[in-house]
Amino acid sequence: MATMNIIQAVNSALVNAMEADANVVVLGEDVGKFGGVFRATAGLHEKFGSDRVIDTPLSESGIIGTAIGMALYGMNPVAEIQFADFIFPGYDQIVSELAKYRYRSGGHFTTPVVVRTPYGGGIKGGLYHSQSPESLFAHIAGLKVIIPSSPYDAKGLLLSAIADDDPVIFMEPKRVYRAARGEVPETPYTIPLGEAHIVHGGDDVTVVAYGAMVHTVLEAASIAKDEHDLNVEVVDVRSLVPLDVDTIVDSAKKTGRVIVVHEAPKTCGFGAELTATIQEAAFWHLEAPIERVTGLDTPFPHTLEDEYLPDASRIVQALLRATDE
Amino acid sequence: MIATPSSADLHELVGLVQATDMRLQQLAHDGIIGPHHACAGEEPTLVGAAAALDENDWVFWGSQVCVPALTRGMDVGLLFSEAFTPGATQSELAERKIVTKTHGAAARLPHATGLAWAARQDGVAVLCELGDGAISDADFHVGVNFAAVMNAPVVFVVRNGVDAPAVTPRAIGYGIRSTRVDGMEATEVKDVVSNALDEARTGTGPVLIEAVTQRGRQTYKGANIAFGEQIESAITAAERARHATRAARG
Repeated sequence: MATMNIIQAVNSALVNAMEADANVVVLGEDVGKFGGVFRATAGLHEKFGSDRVIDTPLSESGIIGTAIGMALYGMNPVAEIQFADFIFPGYDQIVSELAKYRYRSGGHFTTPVVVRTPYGGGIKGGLYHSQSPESLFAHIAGLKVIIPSSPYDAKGLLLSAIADDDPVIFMEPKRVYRAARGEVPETPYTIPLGEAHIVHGGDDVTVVAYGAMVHTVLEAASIAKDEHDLNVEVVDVRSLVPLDVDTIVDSAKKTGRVIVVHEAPKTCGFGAELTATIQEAAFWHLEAPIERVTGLDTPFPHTLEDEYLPDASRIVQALLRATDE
Repeated sequence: MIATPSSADLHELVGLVQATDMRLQQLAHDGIIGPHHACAGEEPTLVGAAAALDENDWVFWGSQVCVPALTRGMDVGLLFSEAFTPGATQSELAERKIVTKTHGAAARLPHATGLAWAARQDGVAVLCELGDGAISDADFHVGVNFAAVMNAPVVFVVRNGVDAPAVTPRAIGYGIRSTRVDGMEATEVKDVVSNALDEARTGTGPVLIEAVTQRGRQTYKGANIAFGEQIESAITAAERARHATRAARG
């Protein structure tokens, strides 16, 4: 087993998938000879050639739209959108076409496209290289939405996404692209879509999070244990759609106190869905209101990124409110 | 099995399409079926283009899906089944490699390009039809530009009503071939589209065809009489099937 960061794990998954199946192709802006803006596709062009690692014109609707056509013919395209902030010119193709082909054709045409895209703040990227638009995809029936937090999960979930018969939006936490490291097998393996993961066990309070925020929450959990003797359970959602309601609700019932953390703005963020789902299923077990610790309801800032993003201190404060007898 | 009509059948097909289309329009107008986008006199272009396809070619089509369906040998009764019970014929359309119901005027162009690229080594070409309204949409540019860059074997046929801006000059900017044809002559359209599909299959890239039409003109006045009996019995059967479906649902 090798130690990998998330970039290397994604690259390893792509190599495994392309070696196993000639129908798997990669397309996007600068994914070929250049190896991708974050190097996630480095080496693929040399290994698989320009017919399978395709440098496209600068057009997100073209990347998604042509990937749809390839999928209709039986291929498994993995499209890269350089930043999730750039995905909106392709949003119409994703929402109106990619998500709906199976439904409107009575199941006769499927579009097994994976759209990989780095998302999130923390890299001093400003308004257009930092956003977290996951709830805009989770709201669209017909799409699966996957967000890994670790190298091991990134590879296993990406291989499952590529094997899936339906479209998957695969959002990669760019802030921890290289910071998160761990043991990752070089051989193929899969993690089923739709399974949350308890990354830290605890009995006092549950924190539900995903992506880069899982690391911030773990930092907060450590502080809460050291300074306040709180045993925090951290649930990594991993799969927003389909959502593992059982794992999340079981933890909420166990601790009776829940905080939801994400870096997207609060209003209509995925935290609203998580909060509503938990209270529907676990209301009589709850000892405190479910609090959301999120990004602010502003455009992503140029200079006040540290104020905008939830940090360990904000999360610890919420943990203390949730456990205040 | 996809039937490829001979030139001799073309005029009969145009008549059948027009009779079907006019009857669907009337049923929609009377509120018996959902909305119907009529061929509006452009049947010769639509039928000529669809008749140019080889058996293995794929089709990306707009609202008048009755055209490639009938041209590729689907029974007229099934078309009325679809009108009365939407979704009833999806398997028949898929078998005939007909992709339809994209949401916008030009959204299907990039799909046609992507499929053509994927199929480029299988001797397959793709036909994508659109109206002149679609050429203002961003996805027109996206689809044609990607087709040019990727050298995809796709033929775009634009129905252009008289007085609309010319389409063929746009091909210059993409560096692809283009042809203008009289869209009211089905045999001419078929020949031009057929040549373009043949060329595309040899790997020389996409072709943009402008079919100049006279929208609104009814070409085959006798169509309803010639195909009346066949169509009326299809409607009766489709209506009966819809009643049965609704009754079964309670």
